[in-house]
Amino acid sequence: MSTASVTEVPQSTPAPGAAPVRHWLRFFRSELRNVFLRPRNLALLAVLAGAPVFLGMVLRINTPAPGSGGPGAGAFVGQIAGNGVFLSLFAIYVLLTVLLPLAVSVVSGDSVAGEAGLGTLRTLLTVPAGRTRLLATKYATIVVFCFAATLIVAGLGLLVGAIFFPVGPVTLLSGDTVPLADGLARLALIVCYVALAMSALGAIGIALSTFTQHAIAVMATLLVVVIISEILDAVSQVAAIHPYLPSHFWFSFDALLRTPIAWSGVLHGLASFAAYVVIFGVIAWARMRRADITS
Amino acid sequence: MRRRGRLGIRTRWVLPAGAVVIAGGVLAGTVLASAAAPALPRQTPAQLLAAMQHATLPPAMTATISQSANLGFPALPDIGGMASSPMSAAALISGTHTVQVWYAGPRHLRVALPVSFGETDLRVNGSQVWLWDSRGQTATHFVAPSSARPMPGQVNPAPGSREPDPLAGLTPLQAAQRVLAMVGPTTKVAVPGTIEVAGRAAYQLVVAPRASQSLVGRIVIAVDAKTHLPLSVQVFARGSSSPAFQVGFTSLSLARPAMSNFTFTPPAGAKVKTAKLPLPALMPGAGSMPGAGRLPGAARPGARDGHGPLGGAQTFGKGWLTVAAIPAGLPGAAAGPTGSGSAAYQSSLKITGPAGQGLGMLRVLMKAMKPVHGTWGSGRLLRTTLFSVLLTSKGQLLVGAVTPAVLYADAAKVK
Repeated sequence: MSTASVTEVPQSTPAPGAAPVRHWLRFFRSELRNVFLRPRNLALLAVLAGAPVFLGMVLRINTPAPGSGGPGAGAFVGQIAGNGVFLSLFAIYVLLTVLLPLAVSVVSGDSVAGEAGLGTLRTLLTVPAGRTRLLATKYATIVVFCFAATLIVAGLGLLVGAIFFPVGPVTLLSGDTVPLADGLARLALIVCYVALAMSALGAIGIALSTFTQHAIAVMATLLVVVIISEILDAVSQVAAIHPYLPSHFWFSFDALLRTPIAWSGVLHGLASFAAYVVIFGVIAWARMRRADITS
Repeated sequence: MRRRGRLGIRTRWVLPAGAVVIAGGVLAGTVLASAAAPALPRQTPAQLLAAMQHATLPPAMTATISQSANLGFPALPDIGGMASSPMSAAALISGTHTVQVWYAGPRHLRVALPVSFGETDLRVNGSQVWLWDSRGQTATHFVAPSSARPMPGQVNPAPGSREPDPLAGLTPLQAAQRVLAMVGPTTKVAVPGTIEVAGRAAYQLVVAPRASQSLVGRIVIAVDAKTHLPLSVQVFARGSSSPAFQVGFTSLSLARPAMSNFTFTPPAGAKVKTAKLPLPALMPGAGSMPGAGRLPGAARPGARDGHGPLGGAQTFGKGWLTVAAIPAGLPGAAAGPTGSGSAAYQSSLKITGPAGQGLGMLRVLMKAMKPVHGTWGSGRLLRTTLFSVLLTSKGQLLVGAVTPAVLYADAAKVK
């Protein structure tokens, strides 16, 4: 959904036949290799993977009493001892505040600005793909990274939770208990939701990334945007702008933990993410078409 | 590439601007309720009021009810997590709250109060009544009386009914009912147009007090064109264009909800408690949920017999100028020096009994109260957009949707 809105931008070169698709796939694969083999990004993924392990060990040593826990998803803490699945949910909640957005900031900030800074963007543009397709490929890579990062957090949370704690039927927020398979299906939906939320942030990142050659500036800017958005979201006096903040719907995945699933909450979130992808996708596109690539 | 390459800078940036406008519009459309006016046959206020008298709760519904208040209070700190609970009095006077209702007759009801990563659920299935709180993972089993309950939420409940009403104060029905009770010579009524609420065509019924001492400017009720159920109630302060208080359906389906909504089995690992009815005393704030339980101006006649949320209250005045006087603890509490909001002053005000929860918050509001005096005595005054609160030196708390002058006049009458 999120990638489609970017790739739907009309292609300048018609692409009949399989050759351009193959070219594109090769380009996409090389972009994926670039992102997933870069030591900096691997370190980020390692930190993301380490967090659920660390949380699991801490909670294993110092097991909280059932029903205890702080505000927000802190309430999950009390349930982890009874069901390891909640470690996965708790890890997603904890990392979604700063660490996941940080990882997305680094990758998306690097995507265009990093190449420009290294002087490799010019070389890339010699690939017979066109700037629109270059941008689409870059963004598709970011989306894959968002899914990978969220999946790593959720997967390791689940794994560590299953090792340290019992795993069984899941108690939802509404007080209903669903079988483990149903609970895991909901967890999968949550992973998709959070990954799409991060992809929307990635769209802002790639748009900012087209304006500068300094990747670090984009990373810092995007992180500041995230933090300001989260602060404003907590100030009730500006409630009128809350639905428009990029981070407002990130934590709405609690709607998937109710019976019946509160789809309206989920759909509001997805609409917000789609809006951000479209707006910043088009901004990035407009900027890319114009920019003089000199380095 | 070649064709696009010739696009001027201005043309190129039209696209992002357009995307912002379209996406913003779509987002606003999903976030804000649409306000298209449906075409309906004309009705006079009298016709509409008569039809509303006979309206009853539908046999089944699945609904989302949203309540919001902006009473112009000073910003309240979160005392002991009070504001974070959707059922607290503090939550009721500020912010927006959502309640979900599944209803299939008086013996099958589920009311859910979803909050971020939490939910409180009341489930009634025949004689089985459960209250679930996800925060503490606690399930409370209420031992219900075996006799059948009266039809809840009826616009005209049997007088003298003392059975707990499971939907008490939850739906716009109660709010509208209280407003309609005010209709009389002191009130102007009009039907200025139609509106769409929760996807249903509705008439707008405007009720406004004639007395200029009332702080209520007007009350707008959206009356469903088919069922004549009130779909929303908005209270506007005098001279204000945005509602100070509103409660209404944001979604409403009259289909019968699935039975799984009403049944409840405590999950493994939950704390299970057993409690005896009556429910309202045990479910915090059940009597003061989004609804007109607290609707300023609709000072309830029931308050006098200790049935309302404010036990032991006296009332003065009539209709829109009704003022409730509540003994608020130690005499002389408010007579102290004007060292505004000193800790000693605040702690001197001890409130107990059923009014405790609602009034406990008032201690926090002390800081915002101005010292006032007159021929009636002296005390402290809090004025918000929709009502005034006077705490006299005799320890009486006077509350009404009226100008302070009315409170002073009534304060002189308090024994």
